[in-house]
Amino acid sequence: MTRVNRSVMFVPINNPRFVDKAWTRGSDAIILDLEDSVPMSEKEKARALVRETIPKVARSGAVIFVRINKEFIKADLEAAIWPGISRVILPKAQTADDVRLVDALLTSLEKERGIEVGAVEIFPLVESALAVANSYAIATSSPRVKVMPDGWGYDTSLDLEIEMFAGFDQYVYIREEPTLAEIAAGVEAMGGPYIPGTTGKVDQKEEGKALATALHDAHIHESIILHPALVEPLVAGLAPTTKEIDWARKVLDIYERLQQEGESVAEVDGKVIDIYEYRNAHELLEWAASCAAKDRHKARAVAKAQSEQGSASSPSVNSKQT
Amino acid sequence: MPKYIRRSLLTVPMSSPLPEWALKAGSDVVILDLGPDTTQERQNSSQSQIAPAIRAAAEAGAEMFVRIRPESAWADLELTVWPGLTGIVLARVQSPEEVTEASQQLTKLEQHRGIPKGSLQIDAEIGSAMGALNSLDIARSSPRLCALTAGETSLYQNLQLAPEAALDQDPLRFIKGQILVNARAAGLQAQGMSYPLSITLAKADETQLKQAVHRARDTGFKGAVCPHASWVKICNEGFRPSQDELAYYVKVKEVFEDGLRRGLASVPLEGRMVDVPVYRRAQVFLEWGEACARRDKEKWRAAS
Repeated sequence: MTRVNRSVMFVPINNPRFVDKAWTRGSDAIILDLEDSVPMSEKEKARALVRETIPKVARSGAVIFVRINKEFIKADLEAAIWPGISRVILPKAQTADDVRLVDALLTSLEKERGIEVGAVEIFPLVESALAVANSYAIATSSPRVKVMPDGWGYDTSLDLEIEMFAGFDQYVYIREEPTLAEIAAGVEAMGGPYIPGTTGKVDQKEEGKALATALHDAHIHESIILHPALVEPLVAGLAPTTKEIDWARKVLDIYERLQQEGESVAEVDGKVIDIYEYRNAHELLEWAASCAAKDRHKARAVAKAQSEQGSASSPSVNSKQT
Repeated sequence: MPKYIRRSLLTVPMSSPLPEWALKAGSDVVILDLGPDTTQERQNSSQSQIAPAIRAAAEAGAEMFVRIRPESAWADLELTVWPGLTGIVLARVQSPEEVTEASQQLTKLEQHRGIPKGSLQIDAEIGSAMGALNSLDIARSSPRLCALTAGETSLYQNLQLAPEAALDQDPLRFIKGQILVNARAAGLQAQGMSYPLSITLAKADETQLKQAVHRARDTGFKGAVCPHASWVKICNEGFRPSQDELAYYVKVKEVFEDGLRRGLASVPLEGRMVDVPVYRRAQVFLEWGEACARRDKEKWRAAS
């Protein structure tokens, strides 16, 4: 199945209130955070929690990631790499060597702990001017890097000493340069569109919808979020709509018929149908099928978890009908 | 926090003594511009006058830079590098070699003219597509480098752009971002405007200018070259944290430190999330605000 991580939700692992509720949020993916939401004094305690937390949060059928600390790479990986963790978020990656170090440690941990070698992905966060400048080297540093963000974020804005939410598109180069580098490197780019915003509030459902629309229009399938209120708009908004699916099916039909007739271009409802549209339609249908499969998988997992839990409060689950 | 508080870099035509308006404008930096005249006679006559002019200007409170043109780099340096100078602006830099060459020449002049070794700084002005493409290598080419400056006038010429000043349609925003990011990646700061106003070289509309300065700051630029003295005050006030921001960051600091005491490093404030990078920014902005206030006091003392 194609990777389906429409919403990738941060959960501070040291906050039991957030951890206990995480599985009820309907997110496609969950990041157990050992980094910026955990104070220095709690790092060791947080590390020790990973192994027992994985099955707790995975009850919803979400895939589970972990964000480690740049200054405690070895200790964090040793505590966190267990079956069930499918991706390591490497913050503040500055050079290709940062990624290679994580790669080597993962390989030995995978061997040691019965995980298929190479199965755990690395997701390097581009969080400084230097990382933006090195983004091609970072994107090509390891086959474990499958998908990568742009440089937009709190840490880069701190590095440049600017406010995040200025109300205009201040990060043109910071979003686009890593995106170009990633595409050139054959890595899935998950950054790009500019979403106007001045509040910086993390729980804004409306902004979540605008974000989803912009990402979907740019054919981007993933988004990292800080608040559960954004799960629903992203899970719904990044999956193709029924209308898009119907149109894509029509495009396939028309294009295949065209080919039988020895033609390659037609105009239907004022739209040009050609090889480009045909490929887009193909991709869209594949993505729709993957989203539907993910939704079914999550629904089954939640039903199972609920029956195990007996008559406990029923969580709201976001599943999209396709 | 920016290493250097250089919010306004006022361009002043070289003359001896320097005009009163230039010394009284209150800019953080004065950039001496030699103008088109490079004849030997002029150089011979002015050499003896330039040294005292620079000393006098430096005493008035601004840091002194001189703009060195690539076509006459050695002559310009010999003419203008005297004690009191903070550094040079290397105009229209295309390659790292130009910087290393200028740096070697500065070393010689430092030795001959009683200037502490290695003290003269280089501000590399990027004014071409080639310079922008090489900007990371340029930024890493010498320990003398303090900043990269986006040279808008030259960029417009080199890229053959029509000077259309519209705030939302700056055709240089990608290239300026590149200059800014590469400067920062090498540990330097960047100067420039996020708005093609500086190409007009005129007394600008105040509201428009304020908005442009604010945008430049929010893009990451730490100051801008001022073609006119009327820009100085607006740049000094714009390229720094505002009073409102400082008040907000005091609050950020308080709630975060309170969270830490409760074992949390991620706490809400007015609907936003405050975690480690937000807290660090609060610290940076507060320090930066203080540094600007110190610089203002310093200039005020020198001027009075």
